[in-house]
Amino acid sequence: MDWTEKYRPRHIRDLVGNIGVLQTMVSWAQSWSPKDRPLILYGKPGTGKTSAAHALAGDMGWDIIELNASDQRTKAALEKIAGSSALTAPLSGAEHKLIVLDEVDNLHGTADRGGAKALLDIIKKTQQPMILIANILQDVPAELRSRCEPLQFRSIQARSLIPRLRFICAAEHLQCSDTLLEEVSTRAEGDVRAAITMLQAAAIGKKVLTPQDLSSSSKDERSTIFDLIGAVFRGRSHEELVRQAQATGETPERIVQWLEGSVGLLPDYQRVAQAYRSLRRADLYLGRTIRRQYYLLWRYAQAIAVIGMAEAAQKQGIHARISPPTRWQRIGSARRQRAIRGDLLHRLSSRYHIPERVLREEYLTLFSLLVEHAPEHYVLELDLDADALNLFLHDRERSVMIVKKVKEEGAAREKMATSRAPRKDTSPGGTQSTLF
Amino acid sequence: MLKATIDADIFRESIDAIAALVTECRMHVEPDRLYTRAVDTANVAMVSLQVKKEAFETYQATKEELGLDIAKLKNMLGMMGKGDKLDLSLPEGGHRMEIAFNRYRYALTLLDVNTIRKDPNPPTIELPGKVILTGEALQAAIKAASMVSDKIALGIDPDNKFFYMVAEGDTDHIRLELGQSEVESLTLVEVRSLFSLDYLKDMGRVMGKAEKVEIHLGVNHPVKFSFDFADRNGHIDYLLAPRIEAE
Repeated sequence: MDWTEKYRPRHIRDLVGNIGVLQTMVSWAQSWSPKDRPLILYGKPGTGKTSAAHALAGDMGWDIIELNASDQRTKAALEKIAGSSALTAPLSGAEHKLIVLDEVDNLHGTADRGGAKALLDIIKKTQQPMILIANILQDVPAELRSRCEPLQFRSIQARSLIPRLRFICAAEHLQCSDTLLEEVSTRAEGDVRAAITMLQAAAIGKKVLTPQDLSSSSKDERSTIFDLIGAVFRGRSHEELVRQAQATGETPERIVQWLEGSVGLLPDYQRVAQAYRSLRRADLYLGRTIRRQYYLLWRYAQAIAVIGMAEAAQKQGIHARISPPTRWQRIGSARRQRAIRGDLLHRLSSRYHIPERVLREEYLTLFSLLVEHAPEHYVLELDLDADALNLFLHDRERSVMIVKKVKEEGAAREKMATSRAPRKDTSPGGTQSTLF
Repeated sequence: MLKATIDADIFRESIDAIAALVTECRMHVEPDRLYTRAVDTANVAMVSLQVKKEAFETYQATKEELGLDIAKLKNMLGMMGKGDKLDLSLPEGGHRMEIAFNRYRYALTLLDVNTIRKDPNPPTIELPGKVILTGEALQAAIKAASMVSDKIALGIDPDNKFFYMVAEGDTDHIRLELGQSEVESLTLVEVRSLFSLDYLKDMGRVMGKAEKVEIHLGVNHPVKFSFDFADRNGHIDYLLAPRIEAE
């Protein structure tokens, strides 16, 4: 039998770690009324979210209804199961029933179509306590998040995990050394489920466990770019860094860009310079990879970037938020600007019969002056929106105001006009003379 | 092991009763009876069914637990004619039940019982109010209520000595009162609970065939419908959780 099920905590007091969060859950349950918001438990796998929900229901004497990603979670299914549950009293005569929706950060795809919306409706009208569970809070639809109380489950520290593992060993009549338990709990990286599974795998067919039994059963490698950058700044060993970079599944280009984005977190110019030296070298290798189409060079680029950056960081650790490279934002907004500009030139060109290139090179300044002089007129004439107008005026607020005003006037005029005549003809020939 | 012959109508009634709530169940086979208890996926309603040995024409069995795909069985019922005889046979520890009727031999693969929800605990709730009325009257009332609303209140008014059902829709309203002379038996205690018609409609179709149905009620408590079939050799209990009235 699966030990993680066999030794799943039955009571809140049996859970390991996250004491503050568990207390919050208990007081939420004890004073629960239909006006209270549902909880969202989030955190890495194996930190006790699902167990906590089950243990809470057990301790409170509540019934429990659980829906997870293996159940169908379409709109209809959710309404039928969670919806009717949320509005009815428990069958057993218990005071309440706890509705647990696991893995709500995976509410997408065709199988769960309309699920998030249905869930939102259920949350609005539920008469029973609800707990939502997710790995990553940011992946839960924002409208759901805003109606719930988020509680974070943090990774379990190795030393708090050891007593639990020792208890399981005793219950299974296994002899385990402390070094083995320490090794298991460190390797698990805060994931209790992983630790217990590792222990079970190592214990197959044995009565006495030594650290050697463990070698073959190691936790699956999973790593995010955030973990990698954290590790770089913490100064993990070179092998570890290279392995982790591999495990993120990001291309070296992206890893280099992320690292470059975090250069600003280094304390002084000397270290920034040192970081850039290795990033530059990594970039050289990236260039060669592409030019020669020789992808074996990729690994050098990646290794040079992470190791070099780690050297520059000198194990200082990281305290600020790790955010995506600002360069990506800049590229994004530059692209948007270009699109607006292109669209505007296209409109001017077809309106006034001037080639786009000539417009761009010779007439744009002139047009700016004209528009500056009578912005309302051009908004109407060229049907400009605030973004396009802003290219002429370089004053965002004013542009928005002008466009808004013109729109309102237009709407008012249309209202009056509809009763009498069809809209005024605005063909190019009719208004062209006003410009020249 | 199971070897039995049963009238198709009794079999159909049993399967219909379960199918009203669930699509699969654990059927317990014992030397003197078959029984099952199951709750629907939303934990809102429960069915307990028992068919005694006497309901069968022949019956031989040893203790066993079968995983039945009720949805499949229900489809198969359509092929049976009225008055057909059904031969059920399952070898010791077998995974396939043979159902023979009207020259068909249907081999039904059983589900692994471990994949089906465990039997729920029998609820221990006190329901003081009790009414007995005909299944037909009950089904008619449920039908009437579903025309105006999606929920129905059941209750007893001890002062005026009647059992009542009320359904309130957005615009319409329907009320039925049955005095002591119009029902078979009535305990005079004040009780009232609200129920979802979604479930009651499905149960009503089954209960409509029963000669009489015992209704047990409490104050905002589940309702229990209790009735016999197959000449009192079969018994069904339905339990339905009440709706909470939002204030």
